Amino acid sequence: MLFNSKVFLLFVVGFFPLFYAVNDRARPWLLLVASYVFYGFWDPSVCVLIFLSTLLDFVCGHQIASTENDTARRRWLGLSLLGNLGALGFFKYHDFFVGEMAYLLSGLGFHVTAEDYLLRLMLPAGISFYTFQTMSYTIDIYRRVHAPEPSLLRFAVYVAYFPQLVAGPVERAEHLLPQLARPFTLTRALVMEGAFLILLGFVKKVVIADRLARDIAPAFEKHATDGALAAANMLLFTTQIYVDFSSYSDIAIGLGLLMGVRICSNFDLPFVVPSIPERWRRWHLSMSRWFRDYIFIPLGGSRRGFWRTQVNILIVMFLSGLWHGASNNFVMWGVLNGLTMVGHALVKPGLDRVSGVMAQANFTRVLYFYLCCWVTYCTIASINIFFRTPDWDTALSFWRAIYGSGLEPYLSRLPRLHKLPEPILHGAALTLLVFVLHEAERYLGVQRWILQRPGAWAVFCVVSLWLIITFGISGPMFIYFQF
Amino acid sequence: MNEQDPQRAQTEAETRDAARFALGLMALAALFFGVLSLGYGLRAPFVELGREGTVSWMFWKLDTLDTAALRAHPGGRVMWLVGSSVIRESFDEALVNQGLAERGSVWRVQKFGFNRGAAGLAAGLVAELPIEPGDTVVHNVSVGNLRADWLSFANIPEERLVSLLTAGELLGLKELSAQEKLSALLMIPEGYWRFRNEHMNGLTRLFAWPIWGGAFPTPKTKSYNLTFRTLERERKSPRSFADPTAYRLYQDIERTDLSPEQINTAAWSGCAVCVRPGARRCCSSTCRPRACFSPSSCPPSCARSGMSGVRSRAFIISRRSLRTTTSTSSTPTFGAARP
Repeated sequence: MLFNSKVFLLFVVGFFPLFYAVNDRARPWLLLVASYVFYGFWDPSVCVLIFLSTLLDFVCGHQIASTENDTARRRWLGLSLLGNLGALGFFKYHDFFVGEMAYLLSGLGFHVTAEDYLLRLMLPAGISFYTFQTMSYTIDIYRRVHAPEPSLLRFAVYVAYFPQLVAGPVERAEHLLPQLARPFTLTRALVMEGAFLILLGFVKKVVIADRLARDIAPAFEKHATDGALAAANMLLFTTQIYVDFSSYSDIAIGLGLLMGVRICSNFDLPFVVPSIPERWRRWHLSMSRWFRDYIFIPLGGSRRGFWRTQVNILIVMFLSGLWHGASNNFVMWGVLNGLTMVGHALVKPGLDRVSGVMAQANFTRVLYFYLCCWVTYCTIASINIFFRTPDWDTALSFWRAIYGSGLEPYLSRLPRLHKLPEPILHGAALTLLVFVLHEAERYLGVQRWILQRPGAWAVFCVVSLWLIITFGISGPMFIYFQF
Repeated sequence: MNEQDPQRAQTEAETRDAARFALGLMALAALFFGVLSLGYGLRAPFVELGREGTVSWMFWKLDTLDTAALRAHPGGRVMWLVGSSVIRESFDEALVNQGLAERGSVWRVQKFGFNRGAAGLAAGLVAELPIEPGDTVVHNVSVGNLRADWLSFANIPEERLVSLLTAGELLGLKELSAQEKLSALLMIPEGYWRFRNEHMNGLTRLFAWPIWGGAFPTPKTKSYNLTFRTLERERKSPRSFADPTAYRLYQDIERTDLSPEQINTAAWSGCAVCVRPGARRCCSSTCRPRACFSPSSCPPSCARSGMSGVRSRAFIISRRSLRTTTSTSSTPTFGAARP
């Protein structure tokens, strides 16, 4: 079920009165049924998969904790990882790897056609998210971070908890399970914050992200020829993906708060950042933490010297790209992100010296900061071309158009910027709006200010609701639903 | 009693209060939505300013139709042309009516052609028409009618389904899954869901006026969706057969046999049932598309045959029976299609 659909509104209207009415014993059952209805609304068969994943990790978790024998513990952990990664690999990566293998083998002279081996399975929504969530559960039990959850019911709710099931944030057992286990408590402050985040998320989605999606979508359906327009669309997509993804997280966290549960945050003002590493410290936090704790640190983290650290970063970013999608574009997206992080690490001493010089005056400090932010934004946008375009050739056509056509296409448009296509002008205005709101939050803490003042909160709610109703819920689905 | 009970009781009371607060907020939001949705409708001010949807224009035309003037001619019969954009772009209603008047005909035509107006949807519009005994309803064989998957093929938005079909008709659409039916039936209040895009357009026009200048926005009374003209861009660059995307979705001529599997007979029956008891008949005919639309309407093999080799059929549907007659003409007999 999509958050931005009429069916979800009906779901919410039916769910919350029941959730508040039932007692603490019935509440987990209600949550579980609601989560499965939410997840399986369009295709009930996917519920079987999530249930099997739940059962596997519940059993493995208990078996790991029940023995001190390291070999047995490793075997149970291996079974859990095999089950989760196997499901993920089967549904998400099978066709991709078959295609790549066939390409490789035909390059070596074998007559192999991928068509014979492709499964063309439908990817169950959210499988990348909940498999990572359940894997973290068993790995943490193996590491003795926490004990196994005694209740299968509660664990099933933890895996299928509907606000964050389909597109995260990827929760951790030690954070979410205790909240699900305690008696239900709610305060007006939580309700106000939850309502604020839900409305904020929907406004971001329907007013900004959906508009941007509509404006730039046609440009990415074909090869780019005009460098200036390709660059403009590339920059606008970076705004779109931030607003779209963060709006989903806002709604998810808001729904959790209405149930007295605080889901971990996923973003920490990542839109205007001065460097790529800084961006990854603020973007998709739950997933970044997952990769840090379960891949980067086990690989040695940053403790084994400069170059080993860079190799570790490259491995993590490669896997992050692969996690996003089974295609060469996503792999390249991950690798390019890794390379820019390595590049940043190489030039960091020089950048620090420049930063020290620029920091001597307020004006130059701010100027330098925003210059770095602009360069970072453009770099991220260039890499995101691989995220957005449907195939490798289209992505390369964008790169060629943007970076291979010299300065002429850009300079010739400078005197008549106002004559750019209307969708680009709309998108630029929306990006400026996002920038202003982002910086207002950074420097003024607007969100906290509103939440502390009931009058301001009420005005925000009315205006947001009006905007949502006017722009209309039910636009394109959230970008991260596809993962 | 232990010491924690009062604290627990206080927490529970606070929780109950917060839950009531949350539910109250939801009720207020629903009320707010209900009040705002009163401003949405066929003749709502912002909708008038931003009207652009093809179905919305059809209903506007129907709403403004002067039936007395329409039947003021001798004989007073009306031929209702209902169907897809092929209908819209094949007949110049004013020109045909002028010709009929000059010849002293008892007939006049009224055209209701809308994008992707397959029989399944046209039936809904036919039910709204002020058909009188002796009238004829003509529906064209649009591409959507030639496919079992016409609904998903045409990618018809939910708001159009709700605009044209009643809840009962929606529930009877076998092409829709149960989930899709539920989603469509949730479009309440109907006026909001039908006209929200146009309402939004109207607001945008109004707010853009101080920024971009120009004439103060006023409601349009003419639209491409009503009048006989082709969009300028279509005129300048007609779609080419060289562009494979132009016809990629259309059914190959070799597989088109107008068999019952391809013709949506249930929808046709729906059309026929909607024609009031006194109406003479409801019929259909293939209309050759205008040259600039040919690549979008048929694949190259069809074009090579110049359409002449295509066997076309006219469907004559009465309320009692559904029978099919074969015609060799690819153009309707009651009005000449413009080349």
